[in-house]
Amino acid sequence: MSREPTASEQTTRQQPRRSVFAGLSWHEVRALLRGDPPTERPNPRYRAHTNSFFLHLRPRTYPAAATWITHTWFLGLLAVVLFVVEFVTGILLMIFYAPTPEQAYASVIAITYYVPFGALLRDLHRLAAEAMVIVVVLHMVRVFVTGSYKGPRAFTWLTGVFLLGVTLLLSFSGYLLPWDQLAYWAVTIGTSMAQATPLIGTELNLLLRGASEIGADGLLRFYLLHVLLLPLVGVLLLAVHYYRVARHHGISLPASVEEGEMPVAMRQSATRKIDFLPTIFLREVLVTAAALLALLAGAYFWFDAPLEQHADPLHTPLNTQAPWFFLWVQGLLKLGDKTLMGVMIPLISFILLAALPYWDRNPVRRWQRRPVAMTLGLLLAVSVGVLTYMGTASYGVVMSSAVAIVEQLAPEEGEGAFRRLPYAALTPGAYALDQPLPTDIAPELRDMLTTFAHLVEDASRAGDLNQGTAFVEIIERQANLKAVTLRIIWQPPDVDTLRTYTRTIYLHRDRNPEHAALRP
Amino acid sequence: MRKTEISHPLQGIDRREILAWIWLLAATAAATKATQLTYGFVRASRAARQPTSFNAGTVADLPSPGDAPRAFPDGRFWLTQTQEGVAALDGVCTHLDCLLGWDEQAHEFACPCHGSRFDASGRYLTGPAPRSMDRFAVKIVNPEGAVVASTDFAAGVQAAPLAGADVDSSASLHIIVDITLEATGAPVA
Ligand code: HEM
Ligand code: FES
Repeated sequence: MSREPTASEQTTRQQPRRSVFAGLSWHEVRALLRGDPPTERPNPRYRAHTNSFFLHLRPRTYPAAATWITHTWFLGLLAVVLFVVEFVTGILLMIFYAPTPEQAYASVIAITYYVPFGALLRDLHRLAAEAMVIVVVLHMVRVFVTGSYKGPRAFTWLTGVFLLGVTLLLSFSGYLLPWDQLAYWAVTIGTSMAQATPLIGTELNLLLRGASEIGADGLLRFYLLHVLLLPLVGVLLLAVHYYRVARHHGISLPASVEEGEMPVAMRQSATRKIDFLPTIFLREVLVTAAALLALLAGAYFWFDAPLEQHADPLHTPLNTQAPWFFLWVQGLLKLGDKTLMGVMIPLISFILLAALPYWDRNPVRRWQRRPVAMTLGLLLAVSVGVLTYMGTASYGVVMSSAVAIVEQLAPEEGEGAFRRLPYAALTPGAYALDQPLPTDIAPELRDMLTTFAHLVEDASRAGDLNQGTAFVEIIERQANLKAVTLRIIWQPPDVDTLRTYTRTIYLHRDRNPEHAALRP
Repeated sequence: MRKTEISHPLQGIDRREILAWIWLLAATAAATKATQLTYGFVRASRAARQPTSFNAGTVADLPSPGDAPRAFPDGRFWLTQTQEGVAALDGVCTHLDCLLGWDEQAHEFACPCHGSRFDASGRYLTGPAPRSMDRFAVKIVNPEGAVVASTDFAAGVQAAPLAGADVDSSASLHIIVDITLEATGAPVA
């Protein structure tokens, strides 16, 4: 017990550990974590890159400047992290989700309200999906600005643009799955756009919907695309993409280093090699942890995955909007022909973007010396921004004032002031808003009714709703369910009959915000 | 050793290489056929929506000319009466398949998706829609089952004319809408 073990004894004892730590001894693992130099010769940390599958995917060393934060902003890494988060949360959601029109919506409700941590998981899945779109786009922007798509990295850029496509399609296919109104109609529009494709449009639409309209077949097809085909294609593309980066050309040096006239000493320090183990590895662990923490906090405190009313194939809701990352297409669609605007322009933009390194032959990388490329890029960004604004429901879709007033207070989709009233404040009764209100109603309801009456009065005074009057009727339909009917009656000057606009919304005790606060 | 000086793309081809090329060709053909079969498999889709024809009430229940069209949500169409007669307007927007709503205030159809608008007879007014609303075939049958009026798309008759119909018996004249027969709306000039 007092004798120190000999070196060979130590090696034997450490064999099991070495096989777990990719050939590294226990001493070596600890030295690595302490940031000490390697304990053996030749450097066993490089050997680990041969022994371990996961480490072999990563380069052994990086030139210092390629890892500058101001060069990569960790965006590629973050995209991978988010992709993995989507896998994990997605597989967990699959346990409770059922891809049929009869069950899908109920299963998402169940996930949100009854499954422990279900709401959190759903929020995470959706938040990470949307964050992934943003991160992937930013990653592309940085590669564009740093000129890193040029030369040997042309093909890498090409695979990247396809990865962006897969990311968008994943989000879009996931969008249908909750089977709510928003989902149903956004996807109806999306697949009708596919129909506008010349030659293959009708076939493509049929292939996606599995029938003439979206129904059980369409939902199943989108589900399979979402959980199988697209993730598979995504993983394969990611493998090709990253293989090029890791094995073929490495991360580019910042243009300032590659092209810059800099003092030798500075250049030397910019290009000196940094080992993956432990420096880069630990840095990535830190970034990943920070990203996960931010995601968790975002999903827990701030982000609620939306869920609207159950899909109704017989009624398109007002304010139907594409998901935000496709609003630019919706904006284009408002401009004109659907084949040109909905298919040809997005398709041509995609091809031009994918082929960018093949037509931009300018070898210069620094953005300051690429005025044309930067101007074009900026133009593209501004157009996408403007088109996105034009895609929102408020642009170009005119609602007449009666509909607009009711939509403001009790929208078909979304919450609105009426649905925010406490359930108990909805005193059943019929209220004619041109008459004095009963004195025994809750103050919240009184405010609400007064607002409604004012809105109609204003429109009436503006000549829009001639002699307009507002009515509200609240009926207790069954225990815990109230029906609220909003009605506007007016007398158009040129017709002799009265006109009416009516909408009824249903409020369930359980769907009210105070109840939603009980979510796990 | 043979001197290989390649001046022609097929120079020096031997038996092995020819066989290899044949294998590759065969594999390509098989893959093409497999793709075709897979496509046929995936494409198979269920029958169109059911039912295919609707009894849309009697002539007596029709909205009078100038009134708001009557909605038949199950068939996704609207019945309207114009000077020409009874027309069944397809409620699916000709732009991208959203369902139109009726704007009581403007007395127009309005699409909630991209804002196309159509008048009460389905004529295009504004928005990105490429054509006026489509129309389904309409038949008006008497209690004996005889057709007293109908659309005739081939002849350009897009509404079932009511001119000859006996107004007194209007409550017994049934309107039948056939949603398998459709005329596309007039393209926007
Ligand atoms: C392989 C990985 C994935 C699996 C197994 C998966 C699985 C699922 C499942 C089962 C749902 C339905 C549950 C629900 O609606 O909450 C869903 C929804 C969704 N997914 Fe994924 N998903 C994956 C990756 C992705 C990716 C990469 C994205 C986007 C970049 C994405 C975006 C969405 C969206 C937007 C929804 C709708 C969520 C909602 O409204 O609740 N998914 N996913
Ligand atoms: S679907 Fe009606 S305007 Fe686009």
